[in-house]
Amino acid sequence: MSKKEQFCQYIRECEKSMYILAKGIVKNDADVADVIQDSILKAYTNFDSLKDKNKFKPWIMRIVHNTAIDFIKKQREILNSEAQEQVSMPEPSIDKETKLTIWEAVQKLNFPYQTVIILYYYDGYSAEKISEITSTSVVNVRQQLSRGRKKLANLLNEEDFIQ
Amino acid sequence: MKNFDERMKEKLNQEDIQIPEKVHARVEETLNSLTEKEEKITKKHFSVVRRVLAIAASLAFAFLVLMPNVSVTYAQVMSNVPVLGVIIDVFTVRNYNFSGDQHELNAEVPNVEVTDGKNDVVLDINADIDTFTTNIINKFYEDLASTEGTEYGAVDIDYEVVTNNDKWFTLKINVTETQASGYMYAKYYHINKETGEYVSFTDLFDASNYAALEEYIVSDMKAQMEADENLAYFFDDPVIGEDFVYVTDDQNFYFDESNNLVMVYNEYTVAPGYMGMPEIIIPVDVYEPLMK
Repeated sequence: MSKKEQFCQYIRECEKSMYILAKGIVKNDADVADVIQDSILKAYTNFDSLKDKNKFKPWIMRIVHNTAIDFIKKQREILNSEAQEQVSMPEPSIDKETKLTIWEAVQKLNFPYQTVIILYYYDGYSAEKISEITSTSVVNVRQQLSRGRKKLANLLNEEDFIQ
Repeated sequence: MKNFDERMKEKLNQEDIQIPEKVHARVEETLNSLTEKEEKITKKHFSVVRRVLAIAASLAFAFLVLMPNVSVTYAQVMSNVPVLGVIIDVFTVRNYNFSGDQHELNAEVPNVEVTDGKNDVVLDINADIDTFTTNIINKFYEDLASTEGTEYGAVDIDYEVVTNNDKWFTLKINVTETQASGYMYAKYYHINKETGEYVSFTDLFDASNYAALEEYIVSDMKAQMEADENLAYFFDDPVIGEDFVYVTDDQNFYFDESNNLVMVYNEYTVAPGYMGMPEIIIPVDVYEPLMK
């Protein structure tokens, strides 16, 4: 199997996880496509530097995470320079009668809570591994997870989730 | 009530997230655009790098001379900073550049010169700048040799004059080290132009007043987080927050053009990485009563 074939196989295996992580951060599907494309190109350029190919998934997830954060930063700079006004993220609010799916609720979370929730629940990573992917301390990841759970429970509005 | 995690697992098993067709199509389009050619070029370059590094390992001292794509140039790019009483010149005294398949080094190392003033002051500053930057550059080459060039690494060093008014001259050395992700940090050098003296944080503040400064810093961090949910500092971390030290003897700081005291923190030290290098501005009326 050539390097390209091997690389493509890894990407296809991780495609859904990459999509969920990027979508949680940049929200819009057109932007998600840009972030994933950019991540794939960066990863392919540096594929040889990944000695242990068993670590491909956390490696590509880290690249997607960093690329998505860079994307948001650039977007914020453009918005700030064009609008000359503070662009604030709206607080998630929801009709008490509305029932959201988990995925709908996760997408309403703000950064960095959606990221840690996605990596923990959708990808099954430990707090230690999430700290490596997001370049955050383990203690901070645990705190973000704890806060993320509470925010998610409120959004889900279900008795089973009320802690 | 079921455990939150158990309930999450149950619900997640019932939900299937579909990748939108336009995103999937872009993934396939990107994968199809990749070429095998890049593999051959990379491998060829790697074999060259490996051979050169094998030589470099045994001839560590000659490393800089042997590498054809390393250049150390001695420049005299002068940035003349005229001031009242003391004239301070900032030179780029050395440029270091290295470019390999996986490694990049770009370093501009400055020297400071004071005319009509006490030149002894800048000898210490220049010696410190030299030690500080040389250590970083040496580590870059050590990492390059130890990983045989197979892991990505980049170092950027540059400098800027952040303050230059009647009283203060402040030079900042910026460093960015990149491996899997980037790490930014800086070092500041201050000259009080009224006295011509080099000034450190401990010359200005007594340790007994650090707590008062910290109190203001934490209150400002709190206010920032309340105003913007996207901002985060470690001060309220239940485990490490209480033990955090926000003012140290070797504190990075400068005075801005309004004479506010600006406390600068290296990346990851007081906030998550996405916050960059946070700066906390302490107004004159807050810090002045706390000065020596």
